[in-house]
Amino acid sequence: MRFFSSLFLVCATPLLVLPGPVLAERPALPPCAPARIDAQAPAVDLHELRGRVVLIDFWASWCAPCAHAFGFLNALQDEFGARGLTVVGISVDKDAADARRFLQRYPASFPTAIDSGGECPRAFGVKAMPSSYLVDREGRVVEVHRGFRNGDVTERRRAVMKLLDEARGGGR
Amino acid sequence: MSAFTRLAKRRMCGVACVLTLFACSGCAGVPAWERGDLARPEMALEPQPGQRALQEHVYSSREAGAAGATGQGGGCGCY
Repeated sequence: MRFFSSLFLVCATPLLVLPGPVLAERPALPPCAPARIDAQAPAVDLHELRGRVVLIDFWASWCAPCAHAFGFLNALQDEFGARGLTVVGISVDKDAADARRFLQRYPASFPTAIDSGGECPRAFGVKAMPSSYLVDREGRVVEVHRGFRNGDVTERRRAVMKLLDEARGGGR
Repeated sequence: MSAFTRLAKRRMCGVACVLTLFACSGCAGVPAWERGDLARPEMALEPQPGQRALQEHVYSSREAGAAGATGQGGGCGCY
């Protein structure tokens, strides 16, 4: 019995600790065109961003780590936007007013959208909040990151830079 | 029927009962993006942590009792 308990702990611990996988095969972006939080703006079609490196971040107003992540995402957009990075934040709030209040408190320097119905997170297979999907210029998902931890920032920044350089060199 | 067979049957019956109980449970997984209601303050295991901490402090001071009668955290499951 003790053996099975130990085996379970050994197998389950990485699931709790690992932030998310770097994908060996790069799956194509699932269909997703969330509405803009600002109702006047046109919907964000992720497939139209082909040609740019895209970081898609699923967030919610009720998710505390999502608020912490916004500082990092703003910095990424400001630093690498000119080199071809677009950060897209997709809120999963049921009520757009909650998302708007959140954005007033934590302004975003990147486009934000909302998917109250949950089609996008369902299509992406979101398993945690926040979840980020790094997408290459061909519209393929390269890396999934679950949660936000300050300790992961350097590695995530490096992954974005690597993808920007890779794309400039012609991809793989 | 031997005693061994009776024992095996009884065990099988027990296992079947446990499996039936599991099948009857009302638990369902909530997708990560639908945990907004679970993240509301009133859904926390301890909705008033400050008041609870004060009560526990008073209790442990007066009664010399150990605290730790409550859990921490809410239900958003955020990483």
